[in-house]
Amino acid sequence: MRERVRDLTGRPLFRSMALSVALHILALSLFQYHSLLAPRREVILRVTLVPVEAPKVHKERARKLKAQKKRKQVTRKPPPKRKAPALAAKRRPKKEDPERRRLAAIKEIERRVRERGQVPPSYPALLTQRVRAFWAIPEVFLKEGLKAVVRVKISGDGRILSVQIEESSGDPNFDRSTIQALLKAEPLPPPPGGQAVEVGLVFRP
Amino acid sequence: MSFARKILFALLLSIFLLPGTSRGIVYIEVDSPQLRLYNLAFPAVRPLGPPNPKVAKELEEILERDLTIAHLFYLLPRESFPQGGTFVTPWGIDYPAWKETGAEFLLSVGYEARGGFLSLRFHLFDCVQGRPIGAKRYRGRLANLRPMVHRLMDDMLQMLTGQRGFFSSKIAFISDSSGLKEIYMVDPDGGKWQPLVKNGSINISPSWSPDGKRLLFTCFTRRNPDLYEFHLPTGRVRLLSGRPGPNAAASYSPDGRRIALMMRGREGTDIFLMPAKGGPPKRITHSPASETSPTWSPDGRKIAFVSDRTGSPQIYVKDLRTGKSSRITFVGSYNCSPAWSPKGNWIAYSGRWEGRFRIFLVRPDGSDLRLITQGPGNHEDPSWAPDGRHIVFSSNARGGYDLYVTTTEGGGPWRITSGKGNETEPAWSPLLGR
Repeated sequence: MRERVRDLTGRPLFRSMALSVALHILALSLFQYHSLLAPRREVILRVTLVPVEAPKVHKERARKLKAQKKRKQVTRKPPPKRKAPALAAKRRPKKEDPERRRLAAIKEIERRVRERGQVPPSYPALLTQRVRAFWAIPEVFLKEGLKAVVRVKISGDGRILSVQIEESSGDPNFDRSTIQALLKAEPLPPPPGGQAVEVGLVFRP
Repeated sequence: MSFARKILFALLLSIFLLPGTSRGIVYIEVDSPQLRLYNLAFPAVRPLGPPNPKVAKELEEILERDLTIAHLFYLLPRESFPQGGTFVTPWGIDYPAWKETGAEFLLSVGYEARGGFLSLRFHLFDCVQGRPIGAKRYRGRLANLRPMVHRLMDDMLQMLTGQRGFFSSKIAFISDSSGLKEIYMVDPDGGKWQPLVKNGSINISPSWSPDGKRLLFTCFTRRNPDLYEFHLPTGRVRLLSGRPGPNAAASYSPDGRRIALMMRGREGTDIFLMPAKGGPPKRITHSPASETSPTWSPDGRKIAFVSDRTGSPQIYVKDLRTGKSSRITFVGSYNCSPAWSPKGNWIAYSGRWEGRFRIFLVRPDGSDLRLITQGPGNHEDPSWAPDGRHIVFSSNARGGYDLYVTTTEGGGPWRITSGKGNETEPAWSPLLGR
């Protein structure tokens, strides 16, 4: 009879060691493959994060970017400046405060527009917007709980390479409207990086 | 191998086998479609033999009217159509050119009229996906042009939507244009008005048998309102029920074996069931109030009817198995003429709303109430088309009563009669001649 090696709580040591290794590996693998759990992020991240993080790492590129920004600011600033004095000159004699407030408001709006302009809408948002604009169906075919999933391969320049129903709604009229919407929306917005992608579109009225 | 070792092994294995290297597919939501009719390209009908402008014109008129009433299509203007003058076939179609017009579908119709005979052909295309949907040809007497076009339309709708059209049916109704109240019938598009029962008396409440071969009606020819059955193929009329008092508002059960009707009960009127072949009627409502207008659910298990047991006419549904009845209308002080849709999902009725009668829809459990008609006049006596979507009703919007067709979404309404008198109590037949 061989004595089994036991841990502090008296259980067989091998079992608890195995369990601990397994849990570590599980945690590690989850971390490594977290993109699998949230696949939607993948495309968005690629589009938005790169330009923000890059300057921190490479000083040279950072300087270039700064220069670019300055150039942009230079090119963008004149219009408001030209407008502002003209407006101000006309009205300054009458009322000071409301006019200044108005100008501040205009500047604030312009700043916000500039900010918004710098963040391009994500690719999924562009795609949704484009396809939705072409999706039409007679009211009679709408029922509660309709849903169709269409898988579509999009080439680098926005052409549809293939399209197929992955999950039918059960109503051929609804299914057809989704395929027709995609084909009418062609060319679709070109995928980021000009690389062909495959996406699933979930149509729900 | 111990249990723990198995887990460890499985985990290690799964790490290498997980599809981590192949990227997961991204799913994107698309919502809020435009709710609109299909864009249909319907070029002028083409002669496939010697042209016959009179036939072509008649074909076009009926086709356009049917396409409009089907209420699925917006007919695109023809000026922009490519391939002018040709009969478009799957082997000669220019899909990109048709897609360019904005058309989702293309209906191409050709005809040949020769020696009293007519042949019709049609091709239906999906212009966006660039493929044919279906085609069919018909041959018959030129005199049967109208039913042929209706059959073409029903087939086309079946191919496109999976739901057969309803144009191969008839609408029976009462008209007083002759000074009496007599029964006529008309095509669903308003064409081919023809007399059905002319007996020099007053007739009311026509109702079709499920096979479309017989028509129930109540006639005052013996002074008492008795129930008769008219057999369409032979023209024979048969007395079904002649009890003292009303024998009216009759309707066949969906299996055609029983007839529900309104007769005099102990107090007021009640709903009775009688065998279609004849026999003693059985009373199924027992309230001291008046009950009338029975309509069957398509599974034959329930009957909706009108009762004034609470003081105002309201609609109730009675379960024939359990004998329980429950009230389903609670809005308005006068709700009548229920009609159970052939799909079973709606009960249409006429209800007084802001002083006028309107057509309402309600679920058989009393939920989801919808008002589907508006405009001047009263809207009364709804009756369902075989497709469970179209509804015919009578309205005095233009003075005298006429028949109008609408849909569950409130399409149209399209006026289908324009007689001098009043056309009332429409009854839409099942699909005929199939």
